[in-house]
Amino acid sequence: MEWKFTDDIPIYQQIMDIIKQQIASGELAVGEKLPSVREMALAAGVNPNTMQKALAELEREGLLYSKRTAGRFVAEQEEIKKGLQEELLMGYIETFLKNMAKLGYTVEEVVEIILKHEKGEEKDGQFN
Amino acid sequence: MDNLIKCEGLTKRYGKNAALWNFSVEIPAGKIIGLLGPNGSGKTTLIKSLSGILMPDAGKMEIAGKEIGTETKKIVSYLPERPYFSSALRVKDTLCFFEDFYGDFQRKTAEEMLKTLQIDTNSKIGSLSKGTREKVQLVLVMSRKAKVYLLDEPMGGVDPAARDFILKTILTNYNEDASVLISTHLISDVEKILDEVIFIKQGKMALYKSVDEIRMEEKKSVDALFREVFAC
Amino acid sequence: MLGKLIRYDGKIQLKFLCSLFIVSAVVSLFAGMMGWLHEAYPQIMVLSMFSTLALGFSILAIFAMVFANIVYVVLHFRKNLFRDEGYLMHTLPVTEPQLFFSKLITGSICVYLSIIAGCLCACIGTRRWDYLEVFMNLLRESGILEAKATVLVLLTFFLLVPFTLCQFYSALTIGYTWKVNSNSHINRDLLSIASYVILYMIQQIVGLIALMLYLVFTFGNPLRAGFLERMEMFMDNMNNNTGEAVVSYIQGVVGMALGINLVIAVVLVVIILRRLNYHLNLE
Repeated sequence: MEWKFTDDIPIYQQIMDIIKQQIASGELAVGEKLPSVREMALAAGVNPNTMQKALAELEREGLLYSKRTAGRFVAEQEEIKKGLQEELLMGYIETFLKNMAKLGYTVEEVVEIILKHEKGEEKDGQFN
Repeated sequence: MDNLIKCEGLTKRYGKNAALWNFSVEIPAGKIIGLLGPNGSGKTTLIKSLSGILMPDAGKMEIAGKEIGTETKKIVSYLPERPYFSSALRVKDTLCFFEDFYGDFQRKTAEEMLKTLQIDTNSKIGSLSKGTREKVQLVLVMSRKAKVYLLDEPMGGVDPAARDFILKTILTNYNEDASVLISTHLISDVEKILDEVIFIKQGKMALYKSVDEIRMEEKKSVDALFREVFAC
Repeated sequence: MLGKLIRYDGKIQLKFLCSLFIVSAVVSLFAGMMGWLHEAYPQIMVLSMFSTLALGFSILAIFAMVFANIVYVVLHFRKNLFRDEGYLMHTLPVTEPQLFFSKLITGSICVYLSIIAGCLCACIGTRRWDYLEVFMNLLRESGILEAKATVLVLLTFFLLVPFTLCQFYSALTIGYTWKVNSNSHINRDLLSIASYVILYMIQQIVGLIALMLYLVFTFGNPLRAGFLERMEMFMDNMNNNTGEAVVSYIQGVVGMALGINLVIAVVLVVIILRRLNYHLNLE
């Protein structure tokens, strides 16, 4: 029910990351109205001030906007969602490649293994 | 704006030991604050002083600008570590009692919470298990629209599911005009809902920071920092 | 708020009294019935034995009822203000005097009721309703009626109940608010008992001093001549139950005792309220 957090980063930053993922994946639709700060804090199991801080930061970054009495909304523009997806993708790729480098693989080796893996999945597609 | 809770130079001695020593703190409204420290560090003494059942030997205290007394007791909701209802009372009697004496008691809220917890209001307090009794007390305390909530080890002898319920109740109740002071040593459970924490060591203030500050500066959770600061 | 506290305390203490009263009443009823049967059938020997036994039990029950009630009232004070329930009571938006007086008032009322209930049971058990007359005769014979000290004596008896409760309450309060090192786990009940004994001794000494002062006041300086003669003359008058001096003496003694007790009671209440306001420390 509640969101999972790690220990070493401020919680509001982790909340921001989670919401960004939700927007990028479409879980939070473009232009969708967000629940109140209090409801979100309750759902996430965090302090309302912390949730407020996260949402305010996201607003500053342009991912959310608020209409005076109507509440908070996800940004309307599709480009923002796209930009977020790319940002997250790059982040994942960087982390992944860094880890692969630690294991001693070159980028080419990794790409080959990935393609082989995809083919393998198609073969036993019925088991997926 | 003036801070909601103000303590200045609080000292409480027991013979040669000092449970509180020159303790000063100012807490604004709208915060959920953890009071953290090992057993015997002075957490309970501080909370008892603020609730009015203990007189410090020195120092001043103010809640909402008033000295501790009948006026502050009207706006302070205190949950002690121990059961404080007579075993002969029924749960519904405790509801009537709180309704009678506290003008800010929301009976409907309390009844709903008890229903969610599946606690029969007709049952006698004495027949309930320890955990259930604690839940009843928590429900009553949190069903008041107080300005200050003092919770002394609210999750002490309670199972994890109940702990979640307690945290949820505190969050649901959150209100910008009120502050919650939670004394506990179960830090990892509570950390997510805290704004700020106060570390208290041998009766003295060791630290008063926001949870975010600690994570950013120390790169570790409050729980981890606590283990460091209070390592045996 | 005081009214609410009185209602709360009253309900709890009255419940206990009621259950005691029912037991006492049943036993007394039984004794009454046995007595009536014995009178109706004096030839049946067993009935005589039963009725005496039953009467004995009913008297025991009555005394036990009054005694148990007093004990319960005192224990209620201790449990409600100084044990776990204290965490609730002392954080209510009420003043300490309100907490104290609600206990004193409801406790006293319960003791009065138990005494009245006891009298009722005695009447039922012995099937006599003339105890009031007996009491008046007692007053007359002891010379109190003639000394016009009836009101003072009755007032003294009436105030004896809250006064005794104050003794117990103050001993408990001192015992439970006495400052003690957190390392030594002193038994606060023992401390309370010790306080009671010490307070009792202090009051006895005060009473003695007051009595001696009164003697000096009435008969003059004991070191000067004529003291013994004046006392002898006074004793003669007492034996004849006559003389204005005797009346005023009796009134004086009773009045003085009442006055001293009132002063002591006020001092005790002040001590209690001070301890509750400034030295409360629930464990």
